[in-house]
Amino acid sequence: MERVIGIDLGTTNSCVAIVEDGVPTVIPNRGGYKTTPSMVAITEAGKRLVGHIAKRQAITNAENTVYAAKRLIGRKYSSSQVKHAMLSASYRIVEGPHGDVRIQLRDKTYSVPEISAMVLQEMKLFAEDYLSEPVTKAVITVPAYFNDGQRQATKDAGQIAGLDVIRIVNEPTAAALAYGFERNVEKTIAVFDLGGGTFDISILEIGAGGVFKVIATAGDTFLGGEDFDARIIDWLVQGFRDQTGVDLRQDRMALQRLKDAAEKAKCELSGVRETEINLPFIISSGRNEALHLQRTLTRDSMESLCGDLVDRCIEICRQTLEDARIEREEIEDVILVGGMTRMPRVQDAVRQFFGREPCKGVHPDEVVALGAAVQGAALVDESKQMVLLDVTPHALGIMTHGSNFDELIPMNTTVPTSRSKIFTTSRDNQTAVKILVMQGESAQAEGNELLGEFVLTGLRRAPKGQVEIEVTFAIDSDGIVSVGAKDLETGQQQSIQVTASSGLTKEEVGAMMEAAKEYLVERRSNDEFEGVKQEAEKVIADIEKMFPKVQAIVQSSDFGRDAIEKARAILERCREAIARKDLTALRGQMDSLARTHRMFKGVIARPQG
Amino acid sequence: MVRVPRPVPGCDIKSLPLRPDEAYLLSRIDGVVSERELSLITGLSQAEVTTALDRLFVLGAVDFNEPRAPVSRRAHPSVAPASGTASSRGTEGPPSRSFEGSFGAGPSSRRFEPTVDAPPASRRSFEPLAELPPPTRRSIELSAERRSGTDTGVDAPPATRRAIDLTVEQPRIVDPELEEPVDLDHAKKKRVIELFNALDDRNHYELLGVAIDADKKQIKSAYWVLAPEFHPDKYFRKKLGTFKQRIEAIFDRLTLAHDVLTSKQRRAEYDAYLEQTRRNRTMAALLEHDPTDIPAVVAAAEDAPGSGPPTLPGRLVGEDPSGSPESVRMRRSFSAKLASHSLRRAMPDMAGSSAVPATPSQPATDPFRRYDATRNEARRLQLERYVLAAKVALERRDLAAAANAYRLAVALAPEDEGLVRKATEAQQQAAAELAEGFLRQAEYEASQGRWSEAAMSFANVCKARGDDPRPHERVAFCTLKSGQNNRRAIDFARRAVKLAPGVGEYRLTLARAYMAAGLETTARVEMERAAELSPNDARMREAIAQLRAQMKKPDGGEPEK
Repeated sequence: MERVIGIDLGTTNSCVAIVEDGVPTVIPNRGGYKTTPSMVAITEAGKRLVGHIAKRQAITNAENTVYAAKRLIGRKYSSSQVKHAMLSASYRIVEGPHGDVRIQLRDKTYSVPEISAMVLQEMKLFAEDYLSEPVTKAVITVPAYFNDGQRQATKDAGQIAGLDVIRIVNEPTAAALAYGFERNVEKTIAVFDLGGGTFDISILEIGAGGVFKVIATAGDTFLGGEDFDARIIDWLVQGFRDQTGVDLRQDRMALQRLKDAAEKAKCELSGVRETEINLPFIISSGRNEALHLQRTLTRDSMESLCGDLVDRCIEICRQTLEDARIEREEIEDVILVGGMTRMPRVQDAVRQFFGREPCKGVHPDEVVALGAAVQGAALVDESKQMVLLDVTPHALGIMTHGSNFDELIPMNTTVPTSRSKIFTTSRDNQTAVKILVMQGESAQAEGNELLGEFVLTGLRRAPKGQVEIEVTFAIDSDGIVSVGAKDLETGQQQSIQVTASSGLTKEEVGAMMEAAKEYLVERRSNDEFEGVKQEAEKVIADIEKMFPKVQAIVQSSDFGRDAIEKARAILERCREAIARKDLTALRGQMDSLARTHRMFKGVIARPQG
Repeated sequence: MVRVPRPVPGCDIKSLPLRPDEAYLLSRIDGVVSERELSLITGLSQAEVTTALDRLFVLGAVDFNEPRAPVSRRAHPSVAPASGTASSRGTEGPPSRSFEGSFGAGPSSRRFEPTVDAPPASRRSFEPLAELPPPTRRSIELSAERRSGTDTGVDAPPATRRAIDLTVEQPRIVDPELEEPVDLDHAKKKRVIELFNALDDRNHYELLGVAIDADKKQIKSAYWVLAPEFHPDKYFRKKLGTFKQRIEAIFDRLTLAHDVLTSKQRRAEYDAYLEQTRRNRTMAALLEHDPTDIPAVVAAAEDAPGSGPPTLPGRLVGEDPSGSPESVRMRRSFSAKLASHSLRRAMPDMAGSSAVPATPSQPATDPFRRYDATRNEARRLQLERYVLAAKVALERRDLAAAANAYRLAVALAPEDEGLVRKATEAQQQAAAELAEGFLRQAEYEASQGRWSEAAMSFANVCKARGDDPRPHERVAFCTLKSGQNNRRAIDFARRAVKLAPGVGEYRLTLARAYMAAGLETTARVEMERAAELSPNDARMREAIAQLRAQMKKPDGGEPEK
């Protein structure tokens, strides 16, 4: 049975896990860390960097380093969230061909799924290294509150990375799976997931026989650690301007340093009461004189900076319980997920709201990936007694009569689910019907997200009102929407044209997939070349060290001189191949090189005389 | 496999020693309705139906379309015939619809049979003559005989019934549904098909297999067991073919049942709704007597003295053609009560006196006079019983039963004006109550987004309230919402407007109905009138603005509602 990895593709950090011998295990990255920063950079030399290494060079290469791409995935360029992100991003965000978001790195623009795919590809490689076998199947998590476009884009990212994404799972649900996995509990739990970029709250019922049923879910896809950082950055920028009159926002490099410092300070304040932010030479003033930033941030002042963000989370919790008609007392356990839940203020708020001590048994950074791995294993292994009944976080409907939203599938409906609706023609011989599919909770269409326009074409010609088409709207277990149509009289299936409102077309995804594959091949051969090169250079250095001695010993004979000449030629060819980065040529010389090496060693070892 | 009994043509039913319930059952048999459905229709338990059918089979009154095992395992061994007989009999000519064809157990009674709860899209149309087959998720496998019964009406050629005959001619036919090559074992396929086919017939409780008074924990436990079995993840990346749809539909319904029954409020609403539909069906069935049955009842009453002891309860129950299970159950219990308490109390001598006229010891001076006397006496007695039954029913506020009893009484004494008046009164009262009931049912259905059902229930309200514009408007509104039959929406909206020309909202609905049917100019006129009528209503203004925007759209391909 093929193994399935679970990937928590986070806003700031990603994590990969697998079920090994029945135990969900986190796979460490090459550096031995269990989580990897979701950062991608392109160096001046055009080299791609992912993870820790991208993070480390971020300050010096701020404009070409992408972080928090998840906040942009599946969004429209025109959306307010993207506009908001553009204000603080140190990289350039541009508009794509479908009104989607693209990121400019050096001379190339990348779609957001492509950037995410780079991170996923890295996670895939870690898993392959760890398992010593190829990995193709994966379960990827997304915030529960992600809409169809965001889910679809995440799936695209997986595909570009060469992964068969067998399921998209909601992060809080995955956390619950890891929590309840083989513990045989029957409980109603709440999962409070405050991550780097998003907030989710899910209420689940864990029943006998490994049934996990989500009762309600809600959240905010633009509320997370990044926003806490932004508040600290604002505070630093404001203070610095008051002090020096210089706006640090004008300098992308300074901004990147501020970001790092803010994040560090925030994390430190979870453990200590106050911390010092020290950024020497942050910027030079107009008179070419270096300025330093030095301030002290206390936990109290940070809490007052970010208090309303925590309040927003709690308000969403309250609303969710109310909508689902669940009393707080019915919640038997609360799981905290996401790095931000380490913040004492967040923990206090949760404790106060639910009236109980949150569960300490799960690791907030790893539990989501573990849950994804559990779900992956359960899907491919029939013997696993576990089934997950998730819900759709948004209502699905269509736009009718100008700008009304006609709800077809309400929020918190267990998926997979489907509803049908009948459409009729309103003109004689009408051959097409246009349907606007939307997701959201607003009664007005503008308040909701347009998923796409579906055009029913090729209707049979008939007087108006006589063609009736049954359109079925379905949400699958991934939370992804699909639409099918059937002519009721003829029973004929109608072709449906989908005009992507944002995101990528099939062809684009295919092309990106190819590019990613090529990159991988290139990178693999690069890695290989580097390996051979290192080996060759070591031998060459060794030979060169022996050269004078050997020359002295053998120069008396013709044979010896001939051999020396030959060795010189071999070394020359090797150096040339290295310079040309010609792996095949270099490989071809490796045997001769080794022979020469052996011969030289033999000559030296031979007793003199 | 479900047995489908058919009446044997040419069988002399009167010569058979049938019990009332068997006769009643026989009256329901038409070669289309299955054994399970019979139980639903008659209100008899499955076991009772099986036993009765087996006896009817042995007596030669029915046979089965099923090639093998005409008698189920539950059959009494002593009456079990050899299995060959069924198929040989089955080849004789087309079956008659029912041995009491004139009693008109046609679609009107079957109309109420599709059950209470199903995803909106899978509802069948309520109109017997709908132009189009209604949307359904069980498109292909929707049992053909039901479709013909519902959609084509009584007079249509029973094409599908012929199809059934064909299957009889080929014994051991394989079920094509079970042969579909999918990654499921035979037992699983069978289970999926059976459950799927039963979805429309089961209420939430039956679906989860819990008692009507089950507590939350029991409901949840049942769901925990069933949901994983039918969750699509359990068939991850398996080839499922048409089973995929079925499995998903089952899962959907299970989840709906769980969600409704575990929410206190939703469950209370649902229970009330179930009770309401049950009551409505009973009442509707009681009130919807086909006039032809009255002479039959009268005739039965005439025969009574000659053919033995009075059998009022048996007659009422056994040969009543208005086939709703509740009506029968209700009348049965009612009659039983009448027989055991009220009647005896009211007429302590009845049991004895009823036999008197037929006593053979009386001198047979004039056979004709004697016959007349007997007949009149029987009539009088019967009349008294009906009137009494009506009074008792009225006291119990059982308006339908009262109306029914009065009607029977009037049939016996059409010259009695007082009786006629009372009958009319009772009839009207009952109809009003029924309308009230249907209104409640309709409102629940509308609140659940089950538009086509709601439209049907509102239409039932209209029957009794022909001059109330509101339910008419609601029919139109719900019909539009369900996306079905724009003509009908227009008809009802027109009627509403005609009844209340001054109400803007009704005109707006009419305008919408016209729009839906593509009659834009007419729609525009109605809309302008609606706008004139309600110039200050903000909600109306908004709705009108939307409709206007819709009209202005150059692209007419916008979905209609």
